[in-house]
Amino acid sequence: MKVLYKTILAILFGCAVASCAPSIAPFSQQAYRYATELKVESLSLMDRAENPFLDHLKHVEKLKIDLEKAYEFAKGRPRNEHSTKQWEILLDPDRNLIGGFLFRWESERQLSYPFIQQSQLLIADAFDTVIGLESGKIRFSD
Amino acid sequence: MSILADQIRENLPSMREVILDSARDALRKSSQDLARWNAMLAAGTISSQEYEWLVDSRISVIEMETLKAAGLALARIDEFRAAIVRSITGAALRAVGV
Repeated sequence: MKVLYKTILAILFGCAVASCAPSIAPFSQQAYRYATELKVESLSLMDRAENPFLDHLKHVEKLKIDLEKAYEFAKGRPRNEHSTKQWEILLDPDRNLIGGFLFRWESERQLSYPFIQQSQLLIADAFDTVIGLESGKIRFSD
Repeated sequence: MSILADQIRENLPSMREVILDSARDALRKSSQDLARWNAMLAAGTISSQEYEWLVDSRISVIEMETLKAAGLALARIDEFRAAIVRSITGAALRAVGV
């Protein structure tokens, strides 16, 4: 009788735990792909920032659109606030990551190589945090 | 109960380590960056404005690392919860002879 009581209690506890919604969005292959590809594209475009901004306007516009797509994808997923906030910081032209870098390039027309190099290290780190968070999320088998 | 205790022992340290490792890593990188930028500023390789920009950039990266650590801790909680459910379900089924 005691065993049965404990079993029922354990099952009820398990049901209570199982009924809680997940705390964070699961892993998304699409989100992971966005982060890894945009890291490469961003760092590659930053290499050109020694040259006049207007010479690379089309590439900058394309990168901005691709970054916005990744941000909107993150924002649209439920329980994905941490990743969404990461993309906001990355893209913000008033801050100092890729959004801010592109804005600075446009304002100053061209940037110095030592500055570009140091910025690339930081922006690579920033993308790595996005990639690291996504790859650490729970994966459900298909 | 012992199954639950085992799950707690296994999972809680790893959550703590994720957060601590992230903080240690951020501090180490920040001090290395500052040393390098100070040298570059002294040599005239970067301007003071560029130096300030890079410092603000590092602060933004730290904020992103904090978000990563917090997100990973939540993912570990979800894994922990799933492990509890699996353990309890397994034990309950064994208890009723299934």
